[in-house]
Amino acid sequence: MSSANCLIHAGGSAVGLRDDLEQGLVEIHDVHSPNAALDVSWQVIPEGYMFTEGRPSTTSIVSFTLDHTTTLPEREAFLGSVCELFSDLTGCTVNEVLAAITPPTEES
Amino acid sequence: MPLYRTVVRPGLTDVDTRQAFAGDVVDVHCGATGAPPSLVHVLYVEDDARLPDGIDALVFGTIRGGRTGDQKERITTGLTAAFAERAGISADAVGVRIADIPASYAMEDGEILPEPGSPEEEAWKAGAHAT
Repeated sequence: MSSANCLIHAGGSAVGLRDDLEQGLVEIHDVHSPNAALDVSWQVIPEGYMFTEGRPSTTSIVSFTLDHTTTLPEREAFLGSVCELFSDLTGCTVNEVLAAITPPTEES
Repeated sequence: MPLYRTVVRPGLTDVDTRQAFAGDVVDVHCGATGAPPSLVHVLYVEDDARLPDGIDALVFGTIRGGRTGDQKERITTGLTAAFAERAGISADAVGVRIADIPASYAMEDGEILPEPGSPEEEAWKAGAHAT
């Protein structure tokens, strides 16, 4: 099973949109990996616990572990869709989303 | 990216200390690598259970692959000293671990990150990430 861990900020609009964001993530994952399940977890960061460029951060971080390998064009399309999802639903800019996929290990 | 997850003992840091160290991370990381400061993230987690005996803070840095051993050493040494000073603890109680991730596995500002030292990175720095 693939998984996504989402770090969002207390008091930010993403907190109240978790259900919609999760549905969107599942749909994006399904486009790229039809019929594969995606487990989504959330971590809400308290104020004063994350900084970007040394200042209080508004950046959401979405980290995926996928059960399959990806090519660069696939990653670009997949991660781009994730950034657009967060931007569209929360009103943040794409500058406020960091999306990443854990690279496969040599054993996998 | 980079993302520095810093696990600390509960109560060890206040918000001013955390922000000050986050600024140190920008200085140390960018000083060693030349990376754009705007992409340097520092996240704190207070969790005793993830700290071994004798260690009060563990900094886990996930950075773009391709940095040299010397660059990583500068980061490790610099962050150890900076956190110890900010928190008022011995450098022996601070651990720093650096892990690489291929740049093409991360997207920030709507773009797949370029490999360090690549021609694409030079163009990227000259564009939206000009410092």
